[in-house]
Amino acid sequence: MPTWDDRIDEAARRLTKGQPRAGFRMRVVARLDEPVRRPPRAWLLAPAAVAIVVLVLVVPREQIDEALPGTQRSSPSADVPLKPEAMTVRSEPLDSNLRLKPDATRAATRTPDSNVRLGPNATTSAPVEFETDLEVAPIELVPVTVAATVVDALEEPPPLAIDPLTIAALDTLESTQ
Amino acid sequence: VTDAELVALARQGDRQAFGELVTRHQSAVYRAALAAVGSPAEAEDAAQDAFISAYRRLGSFRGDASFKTWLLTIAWNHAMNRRRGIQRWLNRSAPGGRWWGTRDGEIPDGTADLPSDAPSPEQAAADAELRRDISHEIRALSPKLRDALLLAQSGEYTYEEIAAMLGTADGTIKWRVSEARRVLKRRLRERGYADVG
Repeated sequence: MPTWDDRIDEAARRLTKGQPRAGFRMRVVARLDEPVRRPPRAWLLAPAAVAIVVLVLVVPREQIDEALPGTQRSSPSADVPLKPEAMTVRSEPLDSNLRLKPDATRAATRTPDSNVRLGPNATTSAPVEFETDLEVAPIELVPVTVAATVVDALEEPPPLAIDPLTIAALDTLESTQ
Repeated sequence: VTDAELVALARQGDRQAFGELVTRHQSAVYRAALAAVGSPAEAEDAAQDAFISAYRRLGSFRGDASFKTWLLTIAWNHAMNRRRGIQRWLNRSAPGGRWWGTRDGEIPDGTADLPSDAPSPEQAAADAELRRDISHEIRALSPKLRDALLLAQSGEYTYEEIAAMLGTADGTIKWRVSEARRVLKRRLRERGYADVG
């Protein structure tokens, strides 16, 4: 009479009983020359995906535009010296005849207007010299005096009145239940 | 010719030598894969992949363990990858489905193997039903307990080889086999087999 352990072991043996089909060795040897298939590895793809996301999110759009060909901008360079007046701020309201001096960060591909004289060989993509006779007065900063603030002390709040708690004795029978 | 000598020849490109290694170990590799995936077709594919992979990695075999142990570790990893793939597919197509529980029709009921002095057809039928119930409960075990029990009872491997395959200690394998038997007996009692000890 077999024991239960014997019956279990026998059933387990049956579940792994068997042999590969005939010709197994031949099929294996025939596959030895198969090219190695290397699937893309997740641990390589993941950092690449993260790098792309960071590039898109972190790098400002302007920097990407500058890096791309065909989006030339008129940036400050040795050819276009910045004038010191360009950085001053006006203290007077602007009138209709006023023209700002060229801003070094603005694109030079804008359409030239009648007030702008281009050099003889200038093109729209070359640095542009602007001329104007407008004088801009610098801002004069006036010191501000702030008076000291005096805060009155808060009044003492009235004392809290709390009624004493009264606890009734528990019924002995109820408390044991 | 020893395995080590065949390995040395195979490293030099001798396919016949590697073919001889395949012949020697195909049964052990196949049965390990069968224990992992539970399907003869999947087991054979996994076994083939394991041999191909071993051939390509012969250069990394240092001989610390036997060739069989090294090969079985590769085979088990391939079978586990295949089992995970099947389980993922099953989770998508039939959520909650269990791979090892899907091949009742492939389990032999054992009636043909009964000894000729079997007492009666009724007794034979009862024995066959008992085998099916035990097989069903084995398939329902947790993978760790089931793997250990099936590998241990296949008769192909030592506890050391099973431990190397599963990446754990010999003692852990022995405990898992014992625990698997204990769990199975409890479940059989719950099925109504009152005399389970």
